[in-house]
Amino acid sequence: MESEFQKYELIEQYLSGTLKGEALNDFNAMLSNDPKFQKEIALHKDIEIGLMEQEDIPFIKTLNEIYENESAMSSTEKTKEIYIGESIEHPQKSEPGKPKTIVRYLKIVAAVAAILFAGIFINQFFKQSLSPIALSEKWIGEPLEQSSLRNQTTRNERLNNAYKEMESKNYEGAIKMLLDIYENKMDLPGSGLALGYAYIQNSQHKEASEIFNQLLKKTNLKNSDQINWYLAHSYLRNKQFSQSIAVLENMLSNPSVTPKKKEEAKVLMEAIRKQFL
Amino acid sequence: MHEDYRYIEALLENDHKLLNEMYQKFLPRIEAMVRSNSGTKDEAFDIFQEALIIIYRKAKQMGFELTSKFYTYLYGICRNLWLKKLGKVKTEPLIKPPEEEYSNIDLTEEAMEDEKRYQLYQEKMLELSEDCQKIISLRLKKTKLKDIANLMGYKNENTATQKHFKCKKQLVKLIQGDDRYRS
Repeated sequence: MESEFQKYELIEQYLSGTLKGEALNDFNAMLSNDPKFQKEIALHKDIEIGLMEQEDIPFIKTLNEIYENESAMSSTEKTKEIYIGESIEHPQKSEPGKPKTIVRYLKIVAAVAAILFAGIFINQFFKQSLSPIALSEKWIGEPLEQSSLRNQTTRNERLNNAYKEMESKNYEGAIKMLLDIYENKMDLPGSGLALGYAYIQNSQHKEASEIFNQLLKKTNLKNSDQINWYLAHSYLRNKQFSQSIAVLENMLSNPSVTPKKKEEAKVLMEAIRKQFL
Repeated sequence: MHEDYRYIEALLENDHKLLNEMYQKFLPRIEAMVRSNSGTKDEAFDIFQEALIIIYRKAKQMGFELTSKFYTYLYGICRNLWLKKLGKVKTEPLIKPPEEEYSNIDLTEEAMEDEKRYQLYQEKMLELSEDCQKIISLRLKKTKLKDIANLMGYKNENTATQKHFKCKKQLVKLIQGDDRYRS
């Protein structure tokens, strides 16, 4: 037992890079002469890699930032394209001597500016004046979130049927189906998240937070950010405001959460503080 | 060393400049493949990111060597992931691999095999007690044993070390005892 434990300690030190100097030389010598030991080390290293969580991979955050920035830039480019396209589409309409093109330009510029200002104003208005519950309903009740849930589905027929029930807003029916999948330990990706989501939509917020907490205990979650986001909403709707804030704070300090989601988390957190705490 | 190894280093070292280059250079081509096979822009990005994670993990393995162009490798994995998502793995490929983009099948298949093995590790991890799962996860995040002892309410660092030793031993035993690992 003791030698087994010593070997474990050596492997741990080697894998963490803390084995140095003579101890490392001895270890390497042992490794080169013992194929069985080589195999053992390779397995330990492989397990370490295989159990690595996505949020622990540094480049993911960078890549998400690039994606967010590019998406934001490409939507700005689209606005420009519409404006430029409009101005050169009917050049024949401008008569010589009458600066109609300039007028058209000015009209378009004024319209775009008005839309932009209105957009900013509405956005700020919603950010500042919507209650936390209204924000929650706005953000997790919208079809986009449902489709992002759907993206995680497998081709499992039962899970797809549950999604169809959710789409037709039969949340009770969906819960029955999803519970059956979830409780029978069918580890289908997305089934737990969908169950929690259906609970929220069916106003069973306590059950929703229980499911999300169960999911978060699992390791190697690929969608822990999304689970945390829903957990914060289920706490909020169950009037557990401090717990909701704690989850949102956790999201804000997590590098794997996208900037867009962080912004939403911040707004929601401020709204909860303002209204309830 | 292959000249494209710099992309591997970029993943390992989180090199912002090169990651941006990879994004600009490779994602549009992956996106074209995904979109022409009933996918969306967001799905293309998910596949791209997932493939990079697979390559990152592969690169962390002992003795990893890049023997083809980085894009060849990336495209092969993306293609496999997308086919898997479409549920077309066992049938005739919907997406025909262009020769120049998909010449190194071995490396790609190897990476996909790795993923199956990692899936097994994850499954076995879930068979451990909650405490064991937590302590192994914390150690993988490089949490100090002293801090683990505090977090888990153990008496001291030694107790945490002993507990981690036992949990890891159990995990290795579970993995080695599975037929899929042995085959």
